[in-house]
Amino acid sequence: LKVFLKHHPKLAWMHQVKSGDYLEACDTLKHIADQEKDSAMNKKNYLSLGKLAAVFSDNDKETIRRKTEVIDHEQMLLKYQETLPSSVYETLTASLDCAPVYSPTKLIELYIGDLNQHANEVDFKKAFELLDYITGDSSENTRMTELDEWKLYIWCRAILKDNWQDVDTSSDPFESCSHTVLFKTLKLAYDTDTLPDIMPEVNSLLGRSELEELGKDPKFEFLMRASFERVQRMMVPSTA
Amino acid sequence: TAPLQVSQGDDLTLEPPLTPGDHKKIDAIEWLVFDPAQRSEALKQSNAVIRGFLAARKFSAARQVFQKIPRDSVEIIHREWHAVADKDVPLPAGTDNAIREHICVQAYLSAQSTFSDWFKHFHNKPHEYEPANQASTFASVSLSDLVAEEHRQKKQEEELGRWREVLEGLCFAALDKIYNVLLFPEGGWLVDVREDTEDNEENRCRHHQMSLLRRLYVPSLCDLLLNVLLNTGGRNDQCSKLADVIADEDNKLYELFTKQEGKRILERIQDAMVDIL
Repeated sequence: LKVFLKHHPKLAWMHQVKSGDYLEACDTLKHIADQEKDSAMNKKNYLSLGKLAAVFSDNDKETIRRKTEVIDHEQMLLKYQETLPSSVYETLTASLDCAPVYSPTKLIELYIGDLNQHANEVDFKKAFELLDYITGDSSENTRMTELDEWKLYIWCRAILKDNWQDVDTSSDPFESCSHTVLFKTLKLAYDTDTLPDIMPEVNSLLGRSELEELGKDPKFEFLMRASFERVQRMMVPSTA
Repeated sequence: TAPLQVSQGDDLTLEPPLTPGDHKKIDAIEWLVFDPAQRSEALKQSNAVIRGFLAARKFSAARQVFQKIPRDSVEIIHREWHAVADKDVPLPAGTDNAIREHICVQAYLSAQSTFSDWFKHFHNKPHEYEPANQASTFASVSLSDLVAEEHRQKKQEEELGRWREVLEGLCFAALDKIYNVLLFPEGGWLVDVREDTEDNEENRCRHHQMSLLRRLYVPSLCDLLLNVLLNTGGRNDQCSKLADVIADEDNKLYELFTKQEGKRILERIQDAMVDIL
């Protein structure tokens, strides 16, 4: 029977629960969840069941912790999908209940891309958090450059949320620009101590093609350089 | 406050009888609500008495105490507080927690009563139609007998239909109220949001009692939820959602189950899922 069930994991886990092999049931359910691409809800459900199988098994705490840690990580990613703004789901003409499983990069795009017209600092912060889930199958080095690209892209999107045409460079940008999504995002990241991980390199940022138009304005360039430099300096005591 | 006595019976609507001491406790709360300045104390005392009643499964007693607290109490507590404190000084943590506990109790009591309603109605099923006399089909029967028989069948089927409809409604209400408790916002049911720094015997006892009540009633509500789903026809597919709620990291309900209880609930969910394969 076990051999037969090996090829039918959706039946196998039930059998494993029935016969008390909770840890095996957990592995099977995790496997089914990994395969599930069509329905985020189903995936969540398999992960939940798998987690419960591990938690309620008679194994030692350490084993259970290792099993649930992996599942919790996946559950978090689904939470990002669940908490997408409802307006995004409307434009997707999908609902949460019948949405497929979105990849981390797709989620970033949904949070801060054109579909989310009203993206705010919380959305941008989430986009940065989602970077943790980008695993890429290539080497660590290429993954890092890939992540850097994504960071720059997210910052660009944050900048482009506002109109920078008549910025007043004479006053303190942290006062006069505090209403912009960029500065709100900076503040939020600073307050939650996540800024050091996501700080962009100003030159690379200004070199992005998305900012080409804006970059022609020396006032804008000055504003960006001055502001990011100041943020950099503010961070030093907090990182030290 | 007396230590909690945890008891669990099989008949889910059965309650132990009230003692004269219980009645005294219920009546005592009445004396505390006369003076608005004492309202926050009244709330705290009523919560404490209710915790004792809930632990003993004395739901009607708990409900009576709950009803002694006037509905506008939260408003009065705020007003009384701001009469002595500045506008932007928040309520003391102990009072805030007492208000939240009161709302938690309300959520539980209404889950409990909607479940009772469902339970009673479920066990009050009208008889299904059975032909009066098989033999009569072959024997010669008068036309009036046939008409009467047909009329009886129709009536019984209608009755059954009405029963089913009411059961559906009660099922819906019970699910809603039970999920209100399971998904209680900001940390979960009977969990304080603010930390009360006052470390005294009373507080320690309160926390101990609340955690016992959580361990008693959260797993039991999950069980009741499955009872409702499995006995209200064609709802097996909704059982797996309960796994999501128990496994969720926000409220960490799974921590409230013993291994035994956990295995039982997981098996029940799995059984429900087998049936819809």
